[in-house]
Amino acid sequence: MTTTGRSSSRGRQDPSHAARRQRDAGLERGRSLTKGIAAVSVAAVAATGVYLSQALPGHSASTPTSTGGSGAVGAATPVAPSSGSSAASSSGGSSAGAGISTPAAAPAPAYQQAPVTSGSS
Amino acid sequence: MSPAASGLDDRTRLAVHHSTRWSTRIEVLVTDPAVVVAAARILDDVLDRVEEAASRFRPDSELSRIHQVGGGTVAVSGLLCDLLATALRAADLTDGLVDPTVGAALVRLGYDRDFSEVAAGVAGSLPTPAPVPGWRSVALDADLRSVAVPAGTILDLGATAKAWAADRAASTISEQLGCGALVSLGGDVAVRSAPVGGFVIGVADVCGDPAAPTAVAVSSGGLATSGIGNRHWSLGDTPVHHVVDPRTGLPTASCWRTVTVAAGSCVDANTASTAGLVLGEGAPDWLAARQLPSRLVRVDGTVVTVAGWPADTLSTGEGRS
Repeated sequence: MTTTGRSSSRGRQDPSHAARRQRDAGLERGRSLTKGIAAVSVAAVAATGVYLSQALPGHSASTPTSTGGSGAVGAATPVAPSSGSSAASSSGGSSAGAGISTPAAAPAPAYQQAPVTSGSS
Repeated sequence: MSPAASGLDDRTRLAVHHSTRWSTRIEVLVTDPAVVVAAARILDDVLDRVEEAASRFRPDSELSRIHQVGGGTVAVSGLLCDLLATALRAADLTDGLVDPTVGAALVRLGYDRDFSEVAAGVAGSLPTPAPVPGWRSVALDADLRSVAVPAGTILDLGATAKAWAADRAASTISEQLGCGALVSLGGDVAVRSAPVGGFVIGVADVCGDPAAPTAVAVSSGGLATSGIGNRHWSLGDTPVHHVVDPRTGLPTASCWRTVTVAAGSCVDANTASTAGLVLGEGAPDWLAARQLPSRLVRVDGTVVTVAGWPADTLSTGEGRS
């Protein structure tokens, strides 16, 4: 009967099966070790970044404290506005990204005189 | 706000409000004529507060207090903290081409009061070239809202503060009044919730020039022009202008007379256009590498466009390369 045959198979210590289990256990240990090393590396990089952001002159020691900020310090850290009237409560201003923000679309050609002119002032 | 006027633009049916402030032309356009006065008030409020925080010419401004302390740590408001952070970010993103520590250099050039009092010319002679102190000497702590600036360093937030104000005002007008808004502060333009097809903006050497050689439609973000065609004066017998090269402390000797850039915000457009002007010949590549649509005009009038900026539309009077 197939059921018996299956039970019998489980009961024996097949050398190749044991080797596979040993190999799988080894691989699992390797994966765990790799994950641990990766986590420690990420934490170390993050800690170094935080330290440098606070240590370098010309950069804010701040991390974001609220939403709606329009300014940003250094390469990437947004700084939230912390006071001011309601007129300053909305977002606007520079992007908080690492680089100069590109427009959503390039300006389109226009063929009419404009009510507003951009020029040096 | 002084002097001011409001009206409807005949072609687009936009409500427009004009005024003059900071020796520059100021405009606010809204897509709902019923709210143009409220929009102008919001803009005026933003400008009031930016001036109180960051004016280099007002002895009672927060910025002046930093200078008066002369090297110590000074507590600042959230607004000035934002403005300082914006200026330092611009410096960082441009490797110091746009640097807020150019204030003392501007003072040496005679620009130590409102421009209306400088335009007629000032006594003196061109100073010896010397780098400005540099933005890295400014220590801003946004958590504690404090800043320390070395003694003798004078900050000038003009380049980024004006653009910041345009962004802030346009966002606030659009959000609070529920309309499309364009704010132009002397050519630094911020656009929010534009009508279909965008706001049409002329581009010229000088802000407000009715004979602009081209116009573009902008649907979001910002547009800014930096140039040497305006805000120039005589220092003794030497003509000078207000765009200082931080590397020399002197007016930039650029091959461009104007650089116009479109970006995701007015602050970023202003940052890039000012950097392009200071950078000189390398500007087209620098702007193209950052995918910033730009129009640059050489001193001889030759126009260079990069990153998808469209060809001139209103006249063919200038050369193109």
